[in-house]
Amino acid sequence: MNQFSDHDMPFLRQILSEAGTAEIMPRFRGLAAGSVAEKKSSIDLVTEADLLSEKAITEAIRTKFADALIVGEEASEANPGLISALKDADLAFVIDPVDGTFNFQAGLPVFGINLAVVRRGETVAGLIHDPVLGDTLTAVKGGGARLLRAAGAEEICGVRSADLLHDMVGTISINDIDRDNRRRIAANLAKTRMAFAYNCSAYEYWLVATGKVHFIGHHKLMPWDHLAGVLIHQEAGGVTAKFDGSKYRPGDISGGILSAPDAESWNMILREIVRA
Amino acid sequence: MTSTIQTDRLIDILWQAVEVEILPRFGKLSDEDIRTKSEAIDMVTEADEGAERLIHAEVSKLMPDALFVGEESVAADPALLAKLGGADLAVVVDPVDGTFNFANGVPLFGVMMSVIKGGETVAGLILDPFAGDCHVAEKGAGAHVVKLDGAHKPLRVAAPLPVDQMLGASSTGYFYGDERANLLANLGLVRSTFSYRCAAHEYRLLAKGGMQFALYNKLMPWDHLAGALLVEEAGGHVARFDGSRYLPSHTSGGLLAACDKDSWLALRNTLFPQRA
Repeated sequence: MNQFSDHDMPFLRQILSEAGTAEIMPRFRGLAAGSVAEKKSSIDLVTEADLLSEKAITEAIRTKFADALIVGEEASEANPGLISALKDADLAFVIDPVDGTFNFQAGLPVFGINLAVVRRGETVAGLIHDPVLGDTLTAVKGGGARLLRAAGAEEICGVRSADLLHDMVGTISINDIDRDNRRRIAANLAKTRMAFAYNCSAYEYWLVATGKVHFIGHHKLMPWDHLAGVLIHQEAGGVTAKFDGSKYRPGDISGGILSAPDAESWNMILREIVRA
Repeated sequence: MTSTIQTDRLIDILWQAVEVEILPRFGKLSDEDIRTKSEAIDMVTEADEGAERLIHAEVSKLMPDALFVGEESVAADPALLAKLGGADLAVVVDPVDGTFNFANGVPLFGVMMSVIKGGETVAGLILDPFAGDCHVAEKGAGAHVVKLDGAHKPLRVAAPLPVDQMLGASSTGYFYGDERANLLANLGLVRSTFSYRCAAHEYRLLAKGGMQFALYNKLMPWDHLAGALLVEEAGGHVARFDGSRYLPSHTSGGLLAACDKDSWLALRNTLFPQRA
């Protein structure tokens, strides 16, 4: 079996970039005359973009890593056992072919492709690609996080420093929890300077890992939404853990996670926003 | 008095500002060190000022009698704002709406313009540089999306939904203290709420049927006049929190936009039960 190494990162970035160009962007805002999107509904287009992007990425990865476990959002819908297999696989790739489908369908240019590489239960590499601008965030475990611009520029990513809670900008996604907890956590967010929510975890991780906002949290833990972003955020210097303080691992799908600038602010945000 | 409003000419002017003053600086931000915060903010300021200057100069040629009101011009002459309500003819501009996104490399910002006659908004334009289209409303003549190639398509808000099924944008950063905490808790009663930090895109999304409501507290005319008319002309209902009509002279009282009057009232009473 082919082993994954850091040298494979450009190969993976290229795969995401090509899927964005060939399968996603032609279906975005499908209004251009003669495009693949002409005369199709926005729901059909987002479904197609999702399926075909995942297919293209899966096939391209297989050319080099024929035996790896590949866990895509679409494939997992048909075969939910794929997620639990993540814990034990020697090598696995986790794909979200279009993260931010609400935005994609609404014509808002805020969506991404997420790809995580998992080796024996640990995320070792993560990529978030923005098909609109062509930029990619990447991280390899222990190697830091980088923002690679479409035009070729490269920047080191760093999280924002912790601040007083009322000066921090962040969000805790509450869409997947019961009504009383939603109201409680939403009200607690009034302690921060400003909440934001872009309907796209790729972009939320992007903003938190490049130091544009302070924290993000989620209750629903589908691996394709979080594995890549969590590694990138950690490699940018941030701290992510499940609400109970335990480490977030591939295959975990419940418990909620919080990403914050450092351990101290992580504890404070958990106490003031999630638990209060 | 100037004759009928030449919206096509006004759209051309906005495109000119996008090409000459706005997009080049967004690209430049991407290539340079976006982590130098002061530099990013300078770049937004330059785009804002440059675009407003260009639009002001071009509008003055087209509509020499119109009062010109923009964020930058009001900063230089605060008395302009008070003249808006009584002006025979005025043009109100927000050259870059969504400055947080612009400064942080998020391709989610817009250019907004409204035309005021005798204290009423008679035209509203919201242009998205990345979609390559402008959403246009003229009082009594409906709302349309106008593509770069001139193609038109009518805009229509979504069918109304019960409060607990609504999706919508809420900008809660300008509420304070208990009022903010109570509002955030009550927003936990809708299906999902989010904030793209860009009123331009939120109004566009509501007017084309992509969500069911939008809520704001800070009412600078350049942020809301165009969007309010767009939503009304697309069939929606827009009013201040007390139910009164929103006018160009208003700078307080909050603003809620929804798909129709009944769903507006149901949502207002859920979010602000003390007003019910």
